[in-house]
Formats: sequence, structure tokens, C-alpha cells
Amino acid sequence: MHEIFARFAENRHEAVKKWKQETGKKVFGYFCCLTPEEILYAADILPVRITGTGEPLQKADLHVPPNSCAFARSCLDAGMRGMYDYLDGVVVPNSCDIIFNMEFFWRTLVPRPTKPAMIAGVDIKPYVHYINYPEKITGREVVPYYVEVLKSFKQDLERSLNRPITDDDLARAVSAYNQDKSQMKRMYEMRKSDPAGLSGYEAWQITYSSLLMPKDKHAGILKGYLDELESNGHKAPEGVRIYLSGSAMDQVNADIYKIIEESGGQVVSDDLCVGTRSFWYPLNEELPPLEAIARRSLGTACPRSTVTDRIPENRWAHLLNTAKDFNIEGAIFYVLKCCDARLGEFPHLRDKLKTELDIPVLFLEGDYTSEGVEQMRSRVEAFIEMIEG
Amino acid sequence: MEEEKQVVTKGSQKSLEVARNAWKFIVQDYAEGHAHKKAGKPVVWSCALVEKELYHAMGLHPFYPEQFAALCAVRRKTPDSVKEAVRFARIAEQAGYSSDLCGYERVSTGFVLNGDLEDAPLGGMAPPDMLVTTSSVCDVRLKWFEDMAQRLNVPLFTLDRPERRFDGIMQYPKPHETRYYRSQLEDLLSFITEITGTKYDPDRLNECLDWGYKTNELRLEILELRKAVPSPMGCADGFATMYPGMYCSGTKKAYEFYRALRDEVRGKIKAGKGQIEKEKFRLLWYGIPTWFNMGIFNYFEPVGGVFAYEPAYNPHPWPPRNPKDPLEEIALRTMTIGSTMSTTIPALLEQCREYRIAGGVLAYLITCRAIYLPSLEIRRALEKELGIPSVLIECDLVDERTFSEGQVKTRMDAFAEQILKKHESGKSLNN
Amino acid sequence: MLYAGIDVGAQSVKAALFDGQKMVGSVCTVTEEAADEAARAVYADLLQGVGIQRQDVEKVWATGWGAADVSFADGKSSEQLCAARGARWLLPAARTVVDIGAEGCRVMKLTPEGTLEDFANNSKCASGTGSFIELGAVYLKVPIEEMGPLSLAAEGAAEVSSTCAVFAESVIISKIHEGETRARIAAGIHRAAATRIVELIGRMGFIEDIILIGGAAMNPGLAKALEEMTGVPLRVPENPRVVVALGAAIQASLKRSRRGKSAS
Repeated sequence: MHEIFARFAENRHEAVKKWKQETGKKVFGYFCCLTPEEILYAADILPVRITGTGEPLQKADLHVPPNSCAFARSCLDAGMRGMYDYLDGVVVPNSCDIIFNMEFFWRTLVPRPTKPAMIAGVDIKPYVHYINYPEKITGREVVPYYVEVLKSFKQDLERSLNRPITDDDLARAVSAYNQDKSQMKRMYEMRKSDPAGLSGYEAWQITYSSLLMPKDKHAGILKGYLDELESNGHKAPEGVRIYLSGSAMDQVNADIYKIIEESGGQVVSDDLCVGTRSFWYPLNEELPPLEAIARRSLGTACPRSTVTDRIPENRWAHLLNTAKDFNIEGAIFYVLKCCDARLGEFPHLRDKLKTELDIPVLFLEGDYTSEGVEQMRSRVEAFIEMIEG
Repeated sequence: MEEEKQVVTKGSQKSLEVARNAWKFIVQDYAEGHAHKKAGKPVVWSCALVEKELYHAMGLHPFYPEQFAALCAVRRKTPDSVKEAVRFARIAEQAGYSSDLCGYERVSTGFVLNGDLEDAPLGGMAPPDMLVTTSSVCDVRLKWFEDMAQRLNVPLFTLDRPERRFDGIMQYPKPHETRYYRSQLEDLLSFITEITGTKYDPDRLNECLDWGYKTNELRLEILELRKAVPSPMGCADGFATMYPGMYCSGTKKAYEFYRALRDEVRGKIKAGKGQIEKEKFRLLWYGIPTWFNMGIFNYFEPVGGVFAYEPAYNPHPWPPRNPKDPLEEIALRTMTIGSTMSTTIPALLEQCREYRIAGGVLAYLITCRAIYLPSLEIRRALEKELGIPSVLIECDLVDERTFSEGQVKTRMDAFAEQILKKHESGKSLNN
Repeated sequence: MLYAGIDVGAQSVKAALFDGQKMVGSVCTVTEEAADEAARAVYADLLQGVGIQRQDVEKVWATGWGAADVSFADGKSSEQLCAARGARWLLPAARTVVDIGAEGCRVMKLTPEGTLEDFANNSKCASGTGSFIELGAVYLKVPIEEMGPLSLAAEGAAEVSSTCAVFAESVIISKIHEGETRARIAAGIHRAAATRIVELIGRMGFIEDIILIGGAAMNPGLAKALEEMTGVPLRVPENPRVVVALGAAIQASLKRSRRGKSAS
């Protein structure tokens, strides 16, 4: 069972294309874990997370200047090179300054594999959908506002696919996502023990593959896998308990988990979008499904978002709870160069970890290449050794 | 500590009297702010594109960390020391703020971390009673202000203005968008009332909005007048005179400032006078200027080049006054503007036609991603659609440590040659 | 009991012998051989120089860039930890350790008890490292070992940008054309390198006592520039190059075994 996760994690394009061939269904790519992918799922579309290649840019560098997120540029490059030609559509939320511009870049630069359908000058089958996601995720009017935004998005999809997306469809999607979430949470809880019930790298593979296959399928496989692990009494290699916080962690830089493990550490919890944040927030099945989806999407709490608190400390509060629950001994922040939101919050979180929990912090500046990750090995080793004493 | 004096930076020569004296307005505004604080009245730290009339109506004096950072970029403590912006940026970087972060953020954070708010140009920014930021323009200011709120232990309010994507620079917002934004304006007013005790008075807001509206009309008129040939008002003048409109809208003094400016520009046009004697070609400056080196705007004057137009800080037409429901009016005003690349690029092309631009200087500000991200696409569009060449100037907006004067000079000289060649070959540039 | 530490750097290999009280021998050799061979050779030199046999040594501990390749080591530790151990042993009051090598500069912060608390690297570029000064030596056409004394002979310093080594050549050449003396340019280069190092130290907080180790610490010009900029006296041990190797030997004596993966 483990091989399925590895297969998706290591060769995602092939795995998804194969699924598409076998089922004859549509696939949409999306950016960011806060995207309301449940709506796509409800329309019988497989939503897959867009990630980059980590290779030198071949085309995107002529259009997107450097000194900006290497992950976003790499994703665009992959699109421009045709690596995503199996996508029937792309969804771009207003997540951060760079990603939201993907709406423009992807639309104008990536050759679209589907044909437009022009009626009176309007393309009713747009290739790129934009979701006007709020930047302040709490507040008395934000949910009604965002539900309207999602209604618009849903209508565009319905028109494009020429089929309705009913509340029943949405409710089914909500239920499937919740099933996967409960298994993912179970996996998450297993890492509280010492040693953890599974390694950081395994947890990453499982999480990453969940972003590439239908949630109901993933839930079924995962349940069986976790049952097996539990009955075997499986444990991850022991190590200094590490919390990993950072920017996009996909197949390009996930080797950091292995490096940490080889250096005597073990990632037991994280704050990553290809990680805990992709499944954490529950869908409330007692609410109308579109509202439940809206709330889940808002609750995903990407670092770039803010809240209505007078002095926002939600990021620290989350870290504090995790650190306590998981008995964290050290925190590693792997932040991509130019990732403004994470670079901006880093000093405060680092200081708090120090003063309130006496937890040491290692800051690594990533360049979204696997070579770059390997170069961090000596610092990771030094950091973990320093904690061991 | 001696530092990179190889960077030869200087202020700009402005062609308009009002522009030359604009610095006095800023000094006066800061003095008023400090007096306001001394008198026990509340101070807010805010940023561009929050509707200032609200502050003036509620009796707050606003300071703007971003503008303060620009001020620090031109000031030194002593003739031998580094620019204040560099001093503060260093303090922030030592504390762990990456040098890739926005220059404004590093400078103002360094100022706060320095611990002595008066150890700064113009007496610094008076200690705030509250912070207000907006999601307009960029995301950095959300985290930046969160961070300042945590450090200063001062309450923060964030206005969330959804990033609308559509074709055309302006479009009427949908009801749910206006409702969302309006609800936040109401919450902002309650927030201010809670902290200061001042109650919201619609009449007072209307008064400020009247001034603001009239000021904006003047600014729009000036923008229109700038299309004249020869160019009556350049970018150096433009950047020097944006302060009252950007930061003091809603006050009488801002209105009077622009009235004087408008009159001077009219006078120039009437007299057929331009920025320089022999205007040969007109340039666009895209992006935020290199505040520490405003002298760059005079660079091409010896060969007849003037900077005629800059899209940064420009006013947009506002929806008409609605005294019965000023909050609705404000919400509409803000939500009408589009902000994505789909809107920026076609608008810029149109503006280049109107201002008869022959070349573009694109400020590639390495820490201001929100503004410079479209640069390569803009360059391509200018070339392809209008046949206009452009040059990228790479540096930070306030931190001169990354500025390579030699590199900039080389690029600018080559660019000027390119344009002059076109000019001499008879290709009409200005008509 | 005797413990040996071997620091396999990119350009040189250092070895030290520790007897529980003090360093009893050390070797530093510039070499281009592969890590394992180079380590063997230097270790053999060390033993010969002190007059002992392999079996007299309780444990051999490796550190440095090539540590993993040293086949005969009983274990390895990071350079940061070894630098902290070695520096603290030589200077019991050390709180900040600045290791300036050819390729990089790192700063270690120690707790009052002497354990490693935090560290930072300068990994972005050559500025602030020995190679920046080497570059300067090349452009000034001066042997590298004379750069320090040359800078000390200067009255004042020319202004050299500290932001980027890429511009260094053009800056130095323009200074020469401006009529600046070699001495003043050398002083300027040292100040530029020092600026970067001082920024790194600042991130750790300038906690005294500050000790300089590593190859470039032997440069009196750099030490002086650093002292002037930080305003605090800086300690430089007698043999700054072998401090990390000593630290590895000390680490061996503490017989630490790591959780998880085995140490060897």
C-alpha cells in the first residue's frame, strides 16, 4: 500500500495521467491549500495541486522577474513547457502577491489544451478560474462575502461543464473530504508518540499523494495502511523531535525530511501547505455545504492571511499548541527566498520560541532546488547535534 | 562606520516652484503630528490607499511608515554617516529580518527596534495609538503591520480589499464586494471610537470627503494637463508633490497645495514652457522611485530627455459624492479599482499613447515584488504594441547598498542612445 | 587518555591531540588529496610528531566538510560544535566564537555555561570571508600573507564597497586610478570584509568574550579592522587554525553517542 503513495509522490504527472486515462474524467490543477477544491470534486473533477520542477527555468524567466518566489516561477515554467497539458482547467486563488498573478501569467503564457467556447465575446469555458479569496479570514461579513465568491465560481464551472453542481453533490464532496481528513488526522496523532508512529518523510509522502488523487480513494488506502502500521507496532526511527515550518514543500525539496532523519532528527509536526495545513481544518457537515467549504477554505490560515484580532497572534498560538502537543525539541524554518509572509513573521516566532519555550530555531533559506536542500545538510547536522548536547 | 560612498546619489532638480517647496509641506505635517501627540490627541500609523478622510474626520493624525522610510532614504544623521534608511535597515537585519524583505518594512521595523522613536529624521513618527493597514497594493503590509503591532503592543486594524480581476481599469463592483468592504469601514470606525472615545460624525466625514473630492479633482486635472507638449511637469515634480494627495487627503491644506500646483502648471502651458528648454523625447518611469537617488530624473536632460509621466501614486476618478451615505461612497470608491496585471498593462499602454512616451524606465525594485512583478511583461508590451524601448534599473526602493551607480549609468546611456537614434532618424516621437 | 580530532576542510586538513587537560600536538597541512587519504596522512604526521602509536589514542573524531569520508574515525561532529568546544577550552570565558575560513564565516553563540546555543553562517557570498581578501590580494598584486601587514601600514582606508565581491575588481581598479595607495586600498578591503563579519556577529548579539579562530583570524589587518568596528577586544588564540580539530578531540573525550543513527 505504501507504494501507491510513493508512486504519486515520485512521479506525479504519470500517476495522474494514468488515472485520467483509466477513468476518462477531468482534472483541474490548483494553487495553494486554501483553494475550495471540494467544489471541483463535487463536479466530478479531480483537483490536483500544482507544483514545480526545481529545474533551471527554461521559459518563465523571460516573463516573471527573479527576486520572486522560485516555486511560483517553477510552476509556471512547468506549465509553459507543457508538463501540465493534461489539465482541463486551472484554479488560481488570491493567496499571495505572486500566486494571484498566476491568473494572468497562466492564462496568457501557458498553451491551453482545451478550446475556448466564445459566445458574444465571452469565453464560457475559461481555462483559468480566479477566486477572489479574502486576506482577512475572520470578521463579521467575511463568510457571506466569500460564499458569494464561491457561488460565482460554482456558476462558472457549471456553465463550463454544462452540468449543475447541486447541494447534494457538494455534500457528498464534503463527506469524502472529511473521511480523508479523519484518516490524515489519525496519522497526525500517531506522530505524537515518542518515537513517532511514522517518519516525517512517510507522512509527507502520504500528504502529498492526497493532493493528487481522489480523496475517497486516498482515504480508503490510508485507512488500511494505518491499520497495518498500528497492528505491526510500527515506529519511526528515533530522533530529536523537530517541527518543520516553511514554504512550499513538494517533491523538489522534500529531501529535507530525509536529511533531518539522517542527522539524528525526526520531523513530528509541521506547518506546511503540503503538510498539516492541507487537511487540518474540518468541514462542518451541519452547515449548508457551500458555507462549510467556505469556512474550511478560510480556516486554512495561510501565513499570508491576517485576522481581526487587535494584536494578531494566531500564528504563534498555533505554533505554541503544536509545540506542546508534540513535545518539540527544535524548530526548523525552511523559507524560500523572497517568501515575504514567512520572512516577515519569522523573527517574532523565533523570539517567542526562544523566550517562552526555550526551543532553538534553525533558519534555512531555500532556493527551491534539491541541490540547495543537500547543501543544508551540515547546518541541519550541527543544529541537531547542538540540541542533543 | 564608513560606508559605500561610491554610491553618488543626489536629490532631484524640480522644474516647478510648488514642487521645490513641497518639502516644507512635509516638514509642517510632521510638526503638526508631533504637536497633536503632545496635546494628548491620538496618532495612527497607516499606509497608502487607506481612505485618509476617515482619519481626519475622527481627529487622528496619521503617520505613514512607508513614507517615513522614503524620507529616511534621503537623510543622514551627520554628513559622514550612512543614510538613515541604511542605519535602520541594518538594525532590522541584525534582528533577523531578511534583506529580501521590502525596504520600507526593514527601515520602519529598524526604526521601531531602535527603541528611541525620536532618534530619526523630523523627530521620527510619533508613538501610535493604533495601526491601520490595508490589503491593497501588496500583502507584505499585512505581516509588516502585524509585526509592528506585536512589537509596539498597539492594536491593529486591517482593511481587506479584495483583489478584483477584470478587464479595464475600473468597473462597478458587485453588491457583495461593496457590502464586505463597507462592513469593514464600519468596524474601523468602531475600532477608532473604542480606542479614542471620538464618536463617528457623518457631517464631519462629509466635510473631509468634500475636501478630498475636490483635491482629487484637482489632481486629475493636473494629470490631464501633463499631457501637454512640451511637458510642463515631470516625474521629479510628480514624486515631490504626491505627499498631500496620498497622505493628507481630506484636509483643506492638501486642496490648497494642489490648487497652487495646478495654477502653476496652467501658467507653464500658457507660456509654452516645458521642464527644459529643448525637449526631444519623453520618458515613462514605471514603479516606485529610487528614493535615495531622485537625481536620476534629471539624468537625460542634457540630451533633451524628460521624464513626463509616472503611474505610481496617481489619482483615479472617484464616484460622485454621496453625502447621504458617505461610507457607501468610500466603499464604492475603493472597490471600483482593479489591481491585477490584466488591468495594469492595457492601462499603461493607453497612458503611454496619451503622454507621447518614447521610452520607459522600469524601476526593478528588488524588494518590492508587488510593483515590479509585471516589469518584464510591461517591457514586452511596450515594445510589441507601441514600439517603445525600455530599460530596467535594478535596485532597492530605499536601501542604497544594492545600488550600482556604474551599472545604472551604463544602461541609461545605452538607452538614451537608442532613443536619440530613433529621434534623429526622423521617427516622430512627440507628435 | 589521548583523543584525536581531525578537521577535514576544503583546502586543508588539521589534526589535534588532546590529553584531557591540554592540546599536546597539532598539525595543519594544505592538501589537494581526497578526504580519506589526506586525513590518514595528516593523522600519521600528528602521531609521528608527538611520538606515539595509533593504539595510544582512545578515540578519533572527525569534523569539517569531509568528515563523513574519514573511514577510520570513531565518530564525527559538526564544525559548529567543535569550534565551540575548542574555543571554550582555550578561553573559558568565551561566549562568541567567530570562525573565519576561506569559504565562509560562521559565528557560534555559547551559553554562560559554555554550551552551543545558536549559530549563523554567512552563506550568501564571498564578502566577509578569507576569499574576499584573497581576491583583493590578486587585484592588488600582493602576496596574500602581506595583505594584513600592508593594511596596518595605511593611514586611513579607501572606501571599498562591502556589498558584493563581484564589483570588487572594478572598485579596486578605480581606486588605483584615483591615486589611492595600495596600503589604503588593502585597509579598505579589510574593512569591507570586517563589515560583513560584524553584521554576522551582531545577529548573535556581540556577547563578550569574542574569540576569533580559523585561517583568516591570523590576519592582523582583519583582527584590527574587526576590533575597531566592534569596539571590543577580540581574542585570537595562538594557533587559530587548529581550534576546530582540538574541539573534535575534546568532543571525543566526552564520549557522546547520538540518538538515532549510530555515530560511526
